[in-house]
Amino acid sequence: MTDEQKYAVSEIVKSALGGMVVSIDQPRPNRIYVLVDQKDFPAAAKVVYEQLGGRLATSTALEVRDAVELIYHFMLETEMVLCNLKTLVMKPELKVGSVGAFLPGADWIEREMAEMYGVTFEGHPDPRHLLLPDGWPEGNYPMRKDFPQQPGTESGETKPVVY
Amino acid sequence: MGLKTAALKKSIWVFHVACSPCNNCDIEILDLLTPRFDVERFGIVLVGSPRHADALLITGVANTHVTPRLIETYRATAKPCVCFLFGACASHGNFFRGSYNVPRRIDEIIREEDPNAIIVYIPGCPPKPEAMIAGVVKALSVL
Amino acid sequence: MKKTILPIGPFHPLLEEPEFFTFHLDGETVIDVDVRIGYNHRGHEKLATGLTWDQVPFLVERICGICSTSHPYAYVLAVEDMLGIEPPPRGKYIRSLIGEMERIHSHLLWLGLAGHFIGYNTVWMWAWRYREEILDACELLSGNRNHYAMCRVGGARRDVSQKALDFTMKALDTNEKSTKMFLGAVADDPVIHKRLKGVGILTKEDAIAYCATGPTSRPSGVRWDIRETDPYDAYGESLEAGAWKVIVTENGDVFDKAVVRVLETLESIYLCRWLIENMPDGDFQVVPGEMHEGEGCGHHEAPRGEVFHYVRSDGSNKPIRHKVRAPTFSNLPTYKASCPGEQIADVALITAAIDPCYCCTERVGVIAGGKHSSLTQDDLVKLSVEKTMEIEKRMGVKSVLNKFK
Repeated sequence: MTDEQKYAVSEIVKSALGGMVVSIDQPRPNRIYVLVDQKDFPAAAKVVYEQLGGRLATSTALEVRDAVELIYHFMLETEMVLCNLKTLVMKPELKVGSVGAFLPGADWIEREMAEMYGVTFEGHPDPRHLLLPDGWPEGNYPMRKDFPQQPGTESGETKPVVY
Repeated sequence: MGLKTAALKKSIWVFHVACSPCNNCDIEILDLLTPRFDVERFGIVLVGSPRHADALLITGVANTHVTPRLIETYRATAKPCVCFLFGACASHGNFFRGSYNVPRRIDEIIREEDPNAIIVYIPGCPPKPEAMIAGVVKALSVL
Repeated sequence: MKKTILPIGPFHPLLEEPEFFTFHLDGETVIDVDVRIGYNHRGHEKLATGLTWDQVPFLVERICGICSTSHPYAYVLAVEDMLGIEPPPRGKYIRSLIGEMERIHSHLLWLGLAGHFIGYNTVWMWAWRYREEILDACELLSGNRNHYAMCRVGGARRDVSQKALDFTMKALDTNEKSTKMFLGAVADDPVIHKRLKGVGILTKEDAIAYCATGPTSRPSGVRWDIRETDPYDAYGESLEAGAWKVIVTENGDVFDKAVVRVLETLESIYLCRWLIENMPDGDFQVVPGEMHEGEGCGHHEAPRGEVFHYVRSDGSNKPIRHKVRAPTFSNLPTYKASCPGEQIADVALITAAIDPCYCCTERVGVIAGGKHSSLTQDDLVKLSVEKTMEIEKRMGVKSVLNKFK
């Protein structure tokens, strides 16, 4: 695949997603960043997975000022381009439709994002803890900025560490 | 030297407790069993249950999830037993001290459970297999 | 229907990380599997946001000791993607060489353990002995047997000497012979055929749906290899030069997974040799320059599949977000597709075939009809060994396993 062919992929993605695209950017030939609206998000992911044949590499959540940003990294293997599908999930509700409902590969990563950032994935088949212990207290989301870099104990309360 | 310690030092049976390791110390421990190093010629055998073990080989840091299981394993081991802390993580926490999921050092956890525990530190990231053998020999010679 | 629940974990007397499996059984047949992980969660992603850009490679190296160059590799690719840096050719070749050496030692490690699980302990001892030569070469190239610390933003962290390269060449030669010997042993042994073929099949559709990567998906006929589809460093050039090829098979069973790994080991040996022969002279690193705002993705084909890293910068000296995805994270859930319908004696093998940072048990409790009995991991391996012996008996082959009785 030459660079020109890779740059043409953003047009393919744009036409496939249609009106759902808020903005699309291709800073390098093998990286596309697409922003879609929160309510269109699972539908857009379904299009990338089923129509464009994307393989979900993983997804990233990160905290911005009044939202949590979700980025689903789809690798389009035949086009040799990484398509990053982004959305902003607004605080304080932090609710978004689940991709794991139709894509088993997204099951675990959504469980992880739910416990780390407190995002609720509506329609997720198995919304349990993945990495944190079962007794972890409700409302403590370790990857949030306001969570201190302090260890928790088995019962859940945090205490300063002495080394 | 008591009878129990004398018996302990003969042919040491070990149980491997991987707390939250990066696998590196673990594969080096397994390496000790394979032809290059072959510690079985000294009577050191990896066993399948802590109840059969004379020594615990502990690797990694203890996170919140694994801490109660580590204590349980230590309780299940026949006393006297030696705790070998392999690697920088087990010895002092390495990068991971101060992580939200790593509350305490392993030696603190074991000391709290049993103040008289015999703890041997073998530093390195990972310690070379030669260093591991040297550490075990050194520990047994001072017991 | 009466179900038996078989918990396995979290500690395992032989292998690496703690994990906890719950198998739902009907007789000896597995009908459902659940995996509980989290015994190994150390909070890397949060810790990385407290370190500077150049400290993070040392942290991510300690995610996994077996693929300990894959994580820093993917991380530096992500940062280079963000900053638009092009490392000098020698730096690229050194990084790729270390990456491939790691693949050889990791696949040999897996081969040995797979041999152990079906009761062929000789295979275990042999594979690990031949692996030592590769580790020696790694030690001479980088200074350590495992954590190599050879990746740095803008190239390799240190140069390699000609002496080390010559030694590596020799180690590769001896290793090629032993790997070919293994290939002959695996491909010809009728007992291994009987034991591994048709066991734990992962279909192509399941591999795609679960987004499995690496030697878990390629045996199922899914041609996904990041070195080919998003070429980086020396991989694009070497593929064009025909130094190696992607191995894909069709059946998706444990046998194919073993064959893919053995063949990949050979391909890695050829690639390493090509890299050493074509190693360019000159600088091996560049100064990265000013940090600016942005985001970048990097991925590397680790021995177990694709390692994916994402970084975001706000222009300061620390990342504000660093996302890590290890290959086992997407390969592990394929248990759900490949275990049901199999026998419990095969489970140890199927789980090992994925080459997870695999883990099993200190004690297995069987709860059947209110009665409690206890099995150790040894018993689980014994079940597996007994099945091999039974097959041998049925085939009229003289057993090599008698001493394991």
